[in-house]
Amino acid sequence: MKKTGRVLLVLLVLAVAALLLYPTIKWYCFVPDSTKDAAAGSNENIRDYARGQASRGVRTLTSLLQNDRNSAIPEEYDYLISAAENHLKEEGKEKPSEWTVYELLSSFPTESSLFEAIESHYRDELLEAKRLSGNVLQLGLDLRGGMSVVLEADTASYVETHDGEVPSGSELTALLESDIEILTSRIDQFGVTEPDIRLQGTDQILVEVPGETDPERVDSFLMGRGSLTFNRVDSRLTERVNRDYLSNLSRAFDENGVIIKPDYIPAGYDVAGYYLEDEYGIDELQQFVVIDSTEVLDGAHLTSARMERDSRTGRPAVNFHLDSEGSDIFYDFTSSHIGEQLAVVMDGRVKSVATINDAISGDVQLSGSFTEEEAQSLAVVLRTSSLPISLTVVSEQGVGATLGDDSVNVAVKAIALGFILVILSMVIYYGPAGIIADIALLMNLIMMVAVLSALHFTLTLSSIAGLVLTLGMAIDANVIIYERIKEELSGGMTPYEAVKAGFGRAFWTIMDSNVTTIIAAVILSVFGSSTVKGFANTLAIGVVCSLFTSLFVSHLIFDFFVSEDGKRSVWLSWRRR
Amino acid sequence: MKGTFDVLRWRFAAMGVSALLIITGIVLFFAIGFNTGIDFGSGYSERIQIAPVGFTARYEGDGSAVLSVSDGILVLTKRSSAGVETYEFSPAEYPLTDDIVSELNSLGVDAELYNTERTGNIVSGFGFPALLSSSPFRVNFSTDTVDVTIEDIRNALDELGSVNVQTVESEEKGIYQIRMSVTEDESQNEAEGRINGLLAETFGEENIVVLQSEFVGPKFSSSLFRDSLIALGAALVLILGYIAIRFRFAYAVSSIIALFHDVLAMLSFILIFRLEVSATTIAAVLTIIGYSINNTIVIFDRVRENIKLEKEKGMSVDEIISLSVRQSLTRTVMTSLTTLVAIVPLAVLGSGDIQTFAVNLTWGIIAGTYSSNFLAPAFLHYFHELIPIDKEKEKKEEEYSLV
Repeated sequence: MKKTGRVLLVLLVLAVAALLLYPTIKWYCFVPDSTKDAAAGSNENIRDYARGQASRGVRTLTSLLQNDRNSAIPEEYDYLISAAENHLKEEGKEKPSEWTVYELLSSFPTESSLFEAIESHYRDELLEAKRLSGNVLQLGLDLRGGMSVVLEADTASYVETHDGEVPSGSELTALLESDIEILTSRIDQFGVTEPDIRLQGTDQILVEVPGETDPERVDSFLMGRGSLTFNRVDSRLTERVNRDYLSNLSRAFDENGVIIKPDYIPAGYDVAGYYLEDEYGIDELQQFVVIDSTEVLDGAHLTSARMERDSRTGRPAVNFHLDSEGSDIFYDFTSSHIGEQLAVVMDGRVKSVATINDAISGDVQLSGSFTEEEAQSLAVVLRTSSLPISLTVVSEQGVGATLGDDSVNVAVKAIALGFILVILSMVIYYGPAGIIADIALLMNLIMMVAVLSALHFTLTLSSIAGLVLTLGMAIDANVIIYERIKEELSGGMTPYEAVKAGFGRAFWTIMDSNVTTIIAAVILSVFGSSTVKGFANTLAIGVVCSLFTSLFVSHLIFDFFVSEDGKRSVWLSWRRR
Repeated sequence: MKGTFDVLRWRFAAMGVSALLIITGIVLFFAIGFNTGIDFGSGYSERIQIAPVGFTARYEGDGSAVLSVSDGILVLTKRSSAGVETYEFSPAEYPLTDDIVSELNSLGVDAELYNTERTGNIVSGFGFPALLSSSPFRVNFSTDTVDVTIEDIRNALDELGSVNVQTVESEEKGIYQIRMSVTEDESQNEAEGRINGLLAETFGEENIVVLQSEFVGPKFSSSLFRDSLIALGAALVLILGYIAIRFRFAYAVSSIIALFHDVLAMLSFILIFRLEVSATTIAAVLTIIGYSINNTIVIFDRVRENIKLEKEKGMSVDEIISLSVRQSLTRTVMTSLTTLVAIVPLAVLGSGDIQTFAVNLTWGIIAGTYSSNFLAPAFLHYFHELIPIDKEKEKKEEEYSLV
């Protein structure tokens, strides 16, 4: 390969690495903590938050208008001006010389459009932060902590389903131990890195998961089926609620973004929102649905769920399979309610509304507002068998690093010190050539962190061990090459020949030693669990990066500094011969 | 000595030292076993908060008086023949402990002020709800600042050796979770006594509020451990296969034996020095496996190359092995030193599990370097006698080995 080609390749790799690292750097250095906290919630939390803010905003602005129509716009609503300008432009009106609350509000055609403008401002900001947080390198439970959830065995429901048989202390512990096994495999499938799951006392399970985990997601894999129910829809009430609310959203939600139940909804009925995800992945409120709170069918009757794509719309759809009892219930209901509507409600949100055209039993296909993620997590939960004894959440709390925040801080400093010492010792021993090795080392580090954050890995102590080992091996590769070059030089070769021969002869040495390591890493990553996996992943990625930096990058730098005619050369030590 | 240092001459000494170390390890394993930490064994876990006493309360009047806390508000419930009376001490009405104390006294409860604190910071531990008696009941209030840091707690518990200290919720709250491994026959009370006794020495008994205490099971179940071992076994077999193909079978067996030695030497070291076995130990052992195989391959690669080159000079395989070790010596020393330089600061400055991890790694690197220079060549010496190294075949491979 020509030198320019090689330089371009290295620059390309660096550019890609920078691109992959960008979210991590932005997240840790430029996103304010308050936004991070708010973005840690689920999409629903964010929507509720945004809607609460919108509700508050509309009220504040209208009360300002009532007090003094010419008062200035509070600074926190400045972003509304550009939205207002757009509205004016659409209507072909001139924008006012000075923005007052009156001018601002009158440029929005309806109150709902103002509500939506405020809502989308908050929602977009948080969703952006949330997206970003998904692409950054997270620190694990041992280094930064996460969320601690205490689950308790639901003995009452166990007794109910087992004909009044009360489990003894040791039986209960055995049941919980099998629960733990199932939870562990579930959590692995959810891709949570190195959770900590222990038995606590005799009837509790302590689960700690790393990072700012979405509480609802944690619930869904801890609690199993979540609460998936099929409910009957009351179409008359649904129509009335929609008529009232859709044109006046600020009346539909309170400060916390919770739907306000109108007075005319009788007891035993609930109002839920039905959302559909638009092409940007943002939930859009389609309508309100009034459902009968007594469910037709409970999610416990589902035996499997498979994510599929609807061939017509391309939206994710879920195929459910019901057990025999569930099939009977469903058949009875659907055959007697043809023409009515049925809603699928997951954790209090309507995911799908369908009109019953036929009596259905056995298999149900639902295309609705399931996001791919939700459909898949539902499928995972249903695939991993149900828990021998069901669990209830006793407490959810944030916890600090399991290794102790103080020792992590010290360790970070010690690792940095070690790294600096390595860099210095290379320069001290190999002189200018040591600097080349250090450049390769730094590039290796950058590439590794970039790949790790792009693959959404969680950095734990064991993966840092993998990182340290890799950096050691990257240095080793350079040492092997340099010692080889030195030997060739003392054998009487010119620097140019020696560099060529050194890299050539070291090639297979480095390849063989690194390929054995990669083999070990890949096997451990595939078959190992938690700690072992984290270590192996980093090692595998790191060794591949180190092959590139030592054999390709440092070779290229050498080729730049060592000329064929012997005029230029790189010294391999401070003693010049 | 220079130039004639023959590593094979030391093989009996080397094997003797290693055998001694490993046998000691095996004996210790059966005699006392591993010092397993809370990741592998059961343990005791408690949440504590160090908070000064705001006031104490006694009640000797008619009926009963109960202090309870609901939603962070102190509630006094007095029951007597006249009926039940409930008083709430909300922080809005009673901002400071002084206010509560004077009100309690006027209600017939004998309260004594210790420290003036904001009443919103009440710490409700195990004691609540408390039936007041003639002995004073302490009510603790946290301060607005963090007076006790995680380091303070760790220092106070230093004597216990293997404890895990972790902050709960935000650091400002000053709530700590302490986990400690327990011996089989230790009861919860004894474990609690051990921790709280040490905490009391440093912070004063009256200031310790236990929020929660519980026995916890191990993090690693036996099935998880078994899976890891199977993965490790599979990895070793594949490494063996790769070396057998790229080198000769004799090389493969020798390097795998050296690898086993490193793992056993590390475990013996852990047993001898009674280091705690935790999740990080697994990471350390894995690191050394990766490191050691790398080291051994580099030396064997040299042997392979020299067998091709030195054939004409009529050197014996043993001489070639010694020569190769000598030629790789600078590289071995440099690599080991740079890796040690990276890890030693962590072993010296670190604390807790991280320090143990770094100490394990340091020893592992030393053992790994030693085994690839002394043991692996010695095994190669024996195995090439069993499975002779075919110099002609080595020669042929030169064409694709050198690029």
